[in-house]
Amino acid sequence: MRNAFLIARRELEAYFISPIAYVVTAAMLVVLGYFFSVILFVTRQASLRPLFGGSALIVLLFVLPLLTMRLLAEEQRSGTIELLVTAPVRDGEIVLGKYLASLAFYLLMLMPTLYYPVVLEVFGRPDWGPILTTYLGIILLGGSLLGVGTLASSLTSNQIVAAVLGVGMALLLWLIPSLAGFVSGPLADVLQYLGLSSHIADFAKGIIDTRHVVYHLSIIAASLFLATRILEIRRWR
Amino acid sequence: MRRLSAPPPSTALYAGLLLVLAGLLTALIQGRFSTIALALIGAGALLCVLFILLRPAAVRQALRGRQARYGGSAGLMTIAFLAILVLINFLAGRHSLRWDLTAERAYSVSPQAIQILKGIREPITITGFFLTNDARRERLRDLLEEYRYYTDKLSFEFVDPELKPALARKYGVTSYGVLVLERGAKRTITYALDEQELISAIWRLSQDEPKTIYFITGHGERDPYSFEADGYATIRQTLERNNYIVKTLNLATITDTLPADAAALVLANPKVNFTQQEREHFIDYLYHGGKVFWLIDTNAGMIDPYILSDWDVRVREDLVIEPRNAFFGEFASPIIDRYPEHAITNGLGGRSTLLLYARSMELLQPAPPNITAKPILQTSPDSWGETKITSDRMAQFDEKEDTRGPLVLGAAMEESMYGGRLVVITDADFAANSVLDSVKDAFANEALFVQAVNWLTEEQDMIAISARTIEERPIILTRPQMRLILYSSTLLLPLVILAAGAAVWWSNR
Repeated sequence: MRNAFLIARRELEAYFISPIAYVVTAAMLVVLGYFFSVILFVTRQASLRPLFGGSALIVLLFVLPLLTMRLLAEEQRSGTIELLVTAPVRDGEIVLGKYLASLAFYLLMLMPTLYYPVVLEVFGRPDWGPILTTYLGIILLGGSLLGVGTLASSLTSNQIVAAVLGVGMALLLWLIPSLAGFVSGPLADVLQYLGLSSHIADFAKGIIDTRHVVYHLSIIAASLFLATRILEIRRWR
Repeated sequence: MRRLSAPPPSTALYAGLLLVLAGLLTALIQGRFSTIALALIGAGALLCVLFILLRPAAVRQALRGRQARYGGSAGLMTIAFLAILVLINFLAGRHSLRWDLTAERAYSVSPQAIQILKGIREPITITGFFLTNDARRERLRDLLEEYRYYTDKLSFEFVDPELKPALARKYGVTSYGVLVLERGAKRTITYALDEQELISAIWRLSQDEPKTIYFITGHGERDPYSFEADGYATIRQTLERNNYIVKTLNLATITDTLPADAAALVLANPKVNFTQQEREHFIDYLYHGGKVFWLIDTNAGMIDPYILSDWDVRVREDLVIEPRNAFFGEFASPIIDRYPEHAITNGLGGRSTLLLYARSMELLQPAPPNITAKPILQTSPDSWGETKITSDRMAQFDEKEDTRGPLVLGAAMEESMYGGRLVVITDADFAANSVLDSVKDAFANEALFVQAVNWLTEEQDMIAISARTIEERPIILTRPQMRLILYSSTLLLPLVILAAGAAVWWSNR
């Protein structure tokens, strides 16, 4: 576990010196900020629910795979993974460490968005309970997306391919519930359940449901587990 | 150990991946998996498969080596791990905890409501007719979503009657803000959009035995089978649509007690007095937990002041004049648009009620023991009860004779010993065919009648969901404030981040 943290720290430092992280954060803030302002002017309600309970979240599907694209792909391309391999660390620790770094950076990315509830507090009287749960929700959603992105990064040694794969997998997970319309019965319920989009609305309302928490943690666990397996397979080729 | 690098993926694989992505994007933009989106995804998947088939060497290479030696056990481990995750999710779905962190506990379903929802045995579908941008629709959607956590027998959809007029006609819906609940062939309609009314409607519909309402006949009462102008056929049909069985009852034919299935009696403006025997039957029923809806108009032939005063009511011999809040300036057609707080009128969805030639009543002080009486209809302070009726155009308020408003035109009484209930409304025209057929849903008259019957017939242990007000949290912004928010959140904030990035890059050059 200590190794994982060491890797996470190294990786987080790499984020801070890479220009792409700043560009990605700025791009996300432009989109979210615009949505936040327009929604506020239209609804005139001191609430973040329309912003973080709906379509504005799609920006995360496109932005977060850009954070994870290089995590494992770059090491495989440049061969530096060998250094990690020869060091006494397990594959699981490598994957976990890199994932934790991206999660930590994502939390830092979310910091500036706290400006929105502050604006609501200055000009109105927002209900802080739902704002709290909303943030828990987008942290979990981001965690899932970063997990999927890490998995995508393990599949290839090309960053661009990793980004495309990551966005594709994120979109697929987001859209699965729309497939539920094609089938009926329990299968439709399963498809509905599998979709990322089914597990965010409650948080935005102001509800914490253990179901949604378990779902996101499962997506993260499955992604990291599979990424570890794939890393093993690719390494011993 | 040789340097690791995957074989360069060929253009086919890239193209395949991009096609799949394009298909997914199309689906995202269209909001569904259309033929185009599916075709793109299919073509992309096909390309990837072709790549795998045409370049087996690359694929074999990926799957060779150590994995071939004990790939089997790794595969088993993966399957086991994923199976455990599925199991955890399944169990978590069955037993979950929900915390509601909103200030008003807006999504906490009351224990009684949960009991009712868990008792639903046959599927109930709810169709709500709303304008697409109606805020009440969203609130109801939240509530119904919440209900679905306790039962899988509930499904709902919201429809804009303008867009689906055929469906609206099928249900006889002519206004917005109506919910139609269906269970098989049974149906109930509610105009009320609060939780209390919604759950009562669900409960009414999930009852296997519809309740029977008896209209008393034999004294010139309004006739539930008459389609004449003053008949009650329209309101009878409305009651039947709401899962009630309507029968008539002649008190003179009763030998011992009233029919046991009588959920409530309606006594709609009798013109002549009960016989002694009829009166005894009536009293016996009402005073021992019976439920009566009594309409007393200006031309009523039977007013039993003794019974009424036992129930805290005295009706006045007058005509209600409403100089301002009147139907097209008809002084004797008061419109009531503000209601005292009561379960009956909470469910009218804020719509007004139109009365015609009503008289007024008063609730006696102090109330008899065991009786709680609450007004449900009240006129404006401008109105008065006119006692010298020459013609309503000439009506003048007379300090000595007339009563100044606000006047009570309807009240709901409850008796605590036996649980009897009585609703008195001092007008019978408001529910007559002529009025209901002409005003349709413009006024809440039909809903008022049905709500009164609903309240009379509800079970005693039923539903005391306190009405929750969801606080609006408005933000009023001036133009400069809007500009400030827009520019600071879309430009300033991202620029600060970019500047920080530039500074880091500069120092690391």
